[in-house]
Amino acid sequence: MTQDSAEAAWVQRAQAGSVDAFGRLVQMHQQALRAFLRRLCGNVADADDLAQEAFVFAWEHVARFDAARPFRPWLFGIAWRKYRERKRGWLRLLKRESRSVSDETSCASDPGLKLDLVKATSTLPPEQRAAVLLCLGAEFTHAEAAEALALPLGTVKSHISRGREKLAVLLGGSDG
Amino acid sequence: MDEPVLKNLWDADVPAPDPRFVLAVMARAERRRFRRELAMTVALTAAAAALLALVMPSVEFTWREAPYFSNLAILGILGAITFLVPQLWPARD
Repeated sequence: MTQDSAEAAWVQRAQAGSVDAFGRLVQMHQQALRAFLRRLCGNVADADDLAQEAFVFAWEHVARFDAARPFRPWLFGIAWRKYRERKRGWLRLLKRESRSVSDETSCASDPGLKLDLVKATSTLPPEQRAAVLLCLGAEFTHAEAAEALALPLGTVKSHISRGREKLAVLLGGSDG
Repeated sequence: MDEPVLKNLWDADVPAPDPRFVLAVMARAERRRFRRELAMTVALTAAAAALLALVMPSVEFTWREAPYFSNLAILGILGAITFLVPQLWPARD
């Protein structure tokens, strides 16, 4: 049994209400999803909380998921939307507290993640950053990333191309 | 800097598989389900109580006039509830 067909079987069992099957899906995707959100967010605790939220949302709505389609882009799409909702909340909170913190630093940064790559990635606009992280960091195809981010394929391709160029400039400069 | 180098850098901070994370997700899902079902039960109980308060005068009257029929009707209602509840809210494993 290939990984895709095994995954489809777990999805179908989860749709029938099996908690065990959904637990297996969480096990299969937790590393990739948490890594994606950590890179997107820049904060381990917020990223893991968002990952949990995304999985819980997926569990509550798995019955509506079309099992003929791949599970991963759907799951990452949920995580992306949760991230954007949370970020809007953070920004509202910051505005209320009248703190002058920029959009990109809305997640407090974690000392463990202060790598050049993290810094360079955080300078990309959110959608560009997400597209780059999915395609270059999580081995998504362009089509899968387009589905997850609900963007046209051409937009995703241009985000990746521009993001890759920016990263090359930023990291090339920091490498000396 | 090319793609494999970027990929290697990103792969370096991929979190290890964590069984506690899986448990935390399932616990959060269960807590949310419990809260939702509790809210639904409270709402249904309140609605049933309100309905009973509204229909009680006529039920009482019917009971006095036709006790045999009333007992059968109550038996039927209880049977229907017993049959319908598992259909509407099936148990999950």
